[in-house]
Amino acid sequence: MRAALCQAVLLLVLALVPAAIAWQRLPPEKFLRPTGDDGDTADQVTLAQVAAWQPAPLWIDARTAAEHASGHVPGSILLNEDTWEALLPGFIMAWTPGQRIVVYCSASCAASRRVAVRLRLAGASEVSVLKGGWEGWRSAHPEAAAR
Amino acid sequence: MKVLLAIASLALAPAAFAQLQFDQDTVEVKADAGAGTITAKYPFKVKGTEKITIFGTETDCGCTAATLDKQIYSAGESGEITINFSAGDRIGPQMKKIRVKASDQGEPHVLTFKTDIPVFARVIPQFVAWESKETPTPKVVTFELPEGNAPIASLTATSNHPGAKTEVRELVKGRRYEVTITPTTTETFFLATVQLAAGMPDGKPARTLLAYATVKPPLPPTPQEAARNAALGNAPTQTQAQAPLEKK
Amino acid sequence: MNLWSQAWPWVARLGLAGVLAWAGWAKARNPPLFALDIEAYRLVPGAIAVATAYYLPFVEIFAAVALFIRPVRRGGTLLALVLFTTFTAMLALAWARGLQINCGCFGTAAASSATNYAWSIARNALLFGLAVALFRRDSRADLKS
Repeated sequence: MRAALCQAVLLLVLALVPAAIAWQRLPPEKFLRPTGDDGDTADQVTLAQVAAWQPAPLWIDARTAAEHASGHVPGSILLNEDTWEALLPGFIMAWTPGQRIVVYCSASCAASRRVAVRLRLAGASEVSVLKGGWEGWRSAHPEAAAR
Repeated sequence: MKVLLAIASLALAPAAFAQLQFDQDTVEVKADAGAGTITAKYPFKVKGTEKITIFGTETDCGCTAATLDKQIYSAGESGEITINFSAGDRIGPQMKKIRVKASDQGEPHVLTFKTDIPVFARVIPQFVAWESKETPTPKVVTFELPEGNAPIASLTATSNHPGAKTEVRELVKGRRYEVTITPTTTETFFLATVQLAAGMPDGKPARTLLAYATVKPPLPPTPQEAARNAALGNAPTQTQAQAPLEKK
Repeated sequence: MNLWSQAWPWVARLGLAGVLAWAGWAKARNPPLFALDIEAYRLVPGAIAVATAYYLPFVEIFAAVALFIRPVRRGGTLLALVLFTTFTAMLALAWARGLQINCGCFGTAAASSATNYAWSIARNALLFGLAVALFRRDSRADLKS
């Protein structure tokens, strides 16, 4: 077993060489981070964290209008980049200054990040992105999602 | 039994040999500000000796749509996949992936579409807010042209609500402006739209961006604050917080 | 029967190595895209996802090659075991959290639609079993010689 472990470690070390070469040849692009300046996952919050917030935050749905229409977090406001300018007044109407904001989209989508960054630029502070997105919320609220 | 397992696992690994060959996997398109739909073309050729079927395409964003002339291509034939990207109100760098599933390999071909949508001007912040009964202090919105854009001739700000007064100050000629918004009162709630009209040189039509100013009820106190207020004998201003918002 | 006992380790080796090398090669072709797949699991921060995307494909390829090199073949099998265990755990977590993602198992956002978790986990379990059998057989053989 110990011999096998040593062999495995040797292989792991050897694999670093081509990995470094690949990094040199094809460096990770800045495109990879959809927003670049949002500090990785620092602004992500979990459902459990959000549940503890007092007063309740304002939910922002960053998905498409069609997805929003077919089911969303109760009270959430649609705000996406497809029609940002048209949707922004609706957000301002619903939001209270100082109120925290949680942006969500589908679990495998980067739109919530982008919307969060644009909201911060637009003048909102305390903007977070929901971990797990709409799918995460739905699996935690089966009764509401059925409606 | 183990042999069977081994054979089964082997069967999971079909030959990864691409017959459908794209001239370019990644297409980067230069976009103009305000371009509605951006089109990119991905020409391909069928290498090898067999005809291939393109089963379908899938994109990672509702804003990208892929179209194909037909589904079946014989050996040696050329074709093209067209991507239409609806920019909507997107700004800045964009990267979208398009997956093309074809009969030549189990794994889809991945095409990448990139563009950088320029902005005409940045309005930061895009909205300013006051709590009701807050001192009506002036708040500032900056209007700035990004580097590389030609300077504008003038900037005017017009509020659609008498409750919000605006004043424009030029900081850098034709490039950077400060718009000061002052509520006449914070006694009533309102949402005002401030039109920022940029006069263009050479008589081109003016371009308009929007900013918003609002007076809103404050957040209801948290339970801790409510308890503290009660202890101090201050009644919370609940009635006021529930008053409707006047929209103009 | 003797022929079977002689042949199965090689068939198992070929099978494991084939899957590992294919998966590794497919991912190594475009690490930045593979990083997106890792990110979609929402398990690690972006920087770690990117680093993993560059490293992991080569670990898979090296493990595959090592299966055929006697002095390091048990190490290769051990790596394969660890890899399959990790992948299965990540898949199970993503499944439990209801994420609709592409598993990224075979490269750059490979599956054209969301992964079928049950099938992917079953496949990993099968490969895991194969690797365990091979590891035990090689351990015995290597100790004898």
